[in-house]
Amino acid sequence: MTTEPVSQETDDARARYGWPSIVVAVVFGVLNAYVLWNAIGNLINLPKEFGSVTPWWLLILNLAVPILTFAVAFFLGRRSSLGARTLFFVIGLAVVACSTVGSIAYVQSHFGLI
Amino acid sequence: MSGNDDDEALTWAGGRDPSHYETPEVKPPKPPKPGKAPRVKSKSADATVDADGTDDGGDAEELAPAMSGAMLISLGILGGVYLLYTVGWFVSWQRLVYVDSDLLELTAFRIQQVLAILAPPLWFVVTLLFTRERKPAVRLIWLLIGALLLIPWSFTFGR
Repeated sequence: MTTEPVSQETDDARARYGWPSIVVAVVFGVLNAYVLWNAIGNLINLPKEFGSVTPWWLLILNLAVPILTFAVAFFLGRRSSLGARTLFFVIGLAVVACSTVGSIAYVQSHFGLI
Repeated sequence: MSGNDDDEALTWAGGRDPSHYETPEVKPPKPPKPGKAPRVKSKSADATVDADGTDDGGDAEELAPAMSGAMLISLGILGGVYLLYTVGWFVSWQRLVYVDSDLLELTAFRIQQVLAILAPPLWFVVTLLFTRERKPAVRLIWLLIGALLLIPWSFTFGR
């Protein structure tokens, strides 16, 4: 009794996650991955320039933000419509954008670089 | 002759100003209610419960607007905060100078600057739309999370 409805629900959820949703998820995955790629580059390259004053917390935060926002947006939209999923991903990317702009402003104002 | 009559009639109507007396009578009851809704209405609701004890429909009608009144004030404050955030990101978009030899990175940053401006209004509107059937507390928590995440740090850093 308990297993049948659960399996049906998961099947419905999987069925509803069709090709359009996968395309949207991949597109926003690539966009978040681009930001993540830059964050990895900064984590490797910036400590050489900054030396002992490297803002490690910021570099690690920039690494975590694109991963977390994509995961949360994916989780929130797993049972929503395609439009809602897209909106959640857009907002996730907007949060990432706030983090990026804020990070660059922090580095500029504290170190005068870039 | 007839023109003078018409003028007299017009001045009579304008002199009385019956509409100006009617509108203040309608307006005063509206503003106090949302401002002091929780206190006054909870007392009146308690009074009706003590007196009748069975007047459930009346209590529901009394409580529903009181909730929405408190909620409206909270939403108004948060809406103001989100509006300030938008202005902050916009000012930052104007002030922050970013130079990059890589055209792709420069373009990505420009797009992200615009996205940052759009982030607060997007979060506010989409949260209100998608939490319509949720409890007021859930809506406020989501709006508070957004208010924490979308602080225009670049503006606070003077950029």
